[in-house]
Amino acid sequence: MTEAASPTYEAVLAKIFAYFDENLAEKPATPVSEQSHLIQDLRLDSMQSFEMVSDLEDHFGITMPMELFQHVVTVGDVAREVVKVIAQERGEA
Amino acid sequence: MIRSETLTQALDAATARADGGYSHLVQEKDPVKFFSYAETARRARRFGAALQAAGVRPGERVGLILPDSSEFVEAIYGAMYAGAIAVPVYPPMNLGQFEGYLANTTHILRQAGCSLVVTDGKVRPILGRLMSNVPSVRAVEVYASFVKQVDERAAPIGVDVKPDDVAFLQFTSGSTSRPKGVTLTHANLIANVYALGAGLNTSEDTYGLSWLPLYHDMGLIGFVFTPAVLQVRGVQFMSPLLFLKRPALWLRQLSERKAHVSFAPNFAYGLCTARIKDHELQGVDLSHLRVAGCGAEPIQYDTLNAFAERFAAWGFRRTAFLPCYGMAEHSLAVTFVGLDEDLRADKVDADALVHGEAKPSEADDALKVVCCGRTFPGHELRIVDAEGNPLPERRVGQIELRGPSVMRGYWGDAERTLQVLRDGWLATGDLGYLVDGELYVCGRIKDLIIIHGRNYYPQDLEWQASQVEGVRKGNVVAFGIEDASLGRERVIVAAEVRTPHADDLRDKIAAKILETLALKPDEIVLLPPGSLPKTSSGKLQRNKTSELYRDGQLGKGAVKAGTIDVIKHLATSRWSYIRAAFGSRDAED
Repeated sequence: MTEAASPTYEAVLAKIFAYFDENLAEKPATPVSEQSHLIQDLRLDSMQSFEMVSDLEDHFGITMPMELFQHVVTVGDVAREVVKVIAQERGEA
Repeated sequence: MIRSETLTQALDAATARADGGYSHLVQEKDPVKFFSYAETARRARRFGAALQAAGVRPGERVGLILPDSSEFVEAIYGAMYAGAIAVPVYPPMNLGQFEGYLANTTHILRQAGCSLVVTDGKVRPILGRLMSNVPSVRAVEVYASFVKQVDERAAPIGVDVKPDDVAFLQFTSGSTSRPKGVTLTHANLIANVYALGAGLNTSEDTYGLSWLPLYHDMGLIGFVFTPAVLQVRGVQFMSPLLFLKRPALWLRQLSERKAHVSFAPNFAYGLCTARIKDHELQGVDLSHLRVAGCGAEPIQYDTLNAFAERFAAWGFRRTAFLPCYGMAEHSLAVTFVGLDEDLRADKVDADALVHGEAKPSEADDALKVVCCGRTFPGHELRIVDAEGNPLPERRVGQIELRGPSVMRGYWGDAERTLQVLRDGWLATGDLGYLVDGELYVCGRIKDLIIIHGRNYYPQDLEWQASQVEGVRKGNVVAFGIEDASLGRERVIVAAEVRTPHADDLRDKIAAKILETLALKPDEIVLLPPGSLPKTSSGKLQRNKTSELYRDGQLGKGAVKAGTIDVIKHLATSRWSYIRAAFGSRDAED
């Protein structure tokens, strides 16, 4: 790999935290963590989920597969998926 | 062009056009797959032959749960070639919400009496328990391996498809428990397609583009059947999820493909205005778009107007908007406005409207009801009162329809068929009025709230409550409950809000409804997100909400929102569910 190293899990997580910091209309009872449940804790509705995903895509220059939506439950899950996709896309490039 | 009498005949005739066919875009970065009409027909026949090999006889029902648009198109035509009756079922989108999905799917497959289900490799594992719950299902097959059981050139044998044969069942999951399978014949569909084709003034050069789900009438009939019947140049499909994730992609694809025709429900236009950023539209030119259809849910003048103003800079012409009215029981389309007409709304007095009169008003608080145009030649539409007597213009009543597009009935449900079909007239359950023969739709019958003899549409209360900052748009239910102590109905508005303990929100909602509708709700119930009951397909349930309220159980946590409610949104044949599931910014039911 000649370009900058792939962002780490922690870096992706930080980006997601920043996203919620800016975009959550309602502050959650406890601070956002990797264990935060997207629906139960963050009260994310479907449209917001889509917005978050497209924001991450723009930021990291990736395309998240649709299947993502099938097993992502927490903030940590999202970060792990993003790391995976970045690795895949750079591997193919 | 000889007029086709069945959809299989239509696809066969379209194969003569080597340049025409269906294109499919599944993932943003994937190349677009193109299958000519001839290639589509060959693949469809192979699927039909595989059905025969699996022992499916003409008239048997086959459930199709296929998220991929090319597999879906091949399978639905293939079932027709085999004389089988396809039953499109929405695919699951969210593994966290299987209980509801499986329950709803089970109801549909049972009601249809499906003998076979065809799905894809991703969905197959979660349908494991399905077979034991639906005794009629002999097997659940995966499309890719299923068709490989027969030769590439295989075709069904000995099937003679006739115009009066049932072509497929369109399940419309009303908010009530039992799903209704709208039974449509080839003749119904052919009649509707020719009628709407004339309304769109299609030519052999016409190109369409759609992200609509194909298990919904607008996507299926409008963009799968219509292109072949009318032998237009073709259609490109893109996944509904792609649109939701990146609304700009719809406009970019419209521009890239120089598409002439596209359709979407009201909420989609609102989503574009809200979500698309200017930089996402570099180089986009929408000037080829001749028809931007809008239907399948109530149309908001302000939503479309805002879209037209915002995207005019990219060549969008507001005269491209084509508001329409339609329903599955009438195949698809009922009325269209004329081509190239400007968007028109009838401004009426809100007070008079609840008394059943659409009285023109120039007041600031007048309601804007969008014109949905006229019905098609050979089709009839009338407005009737509660006793079934036709009403004069500008009087609000039930919309009734008659003609060749009207369904045969609800599959296996004579009782509910009789409730809506009388003397050939289809009672739509929708309320509207006519002006100069043009239709204006203003609500639904069964959910009316009646106070002191005046009718209020819950949709109106819900819409107004949704306008209040802090309320989750589209997640509001209004209903009335008989209350002897009041001597009238008690009006309750239950709203999902982001901060449930904000009492001033209660006042704001009540004030908004009072200001706009001159009705004072008796109680405003504030609920956390995900509290309102929805069908497994995502439509808000007014009756259920009212029951929970009566039982003191509303907001007591029995109902949870899904991990991501995508499933609900793609879930059914009525767009209102989609809007409801998404908490969409603009639409109302």
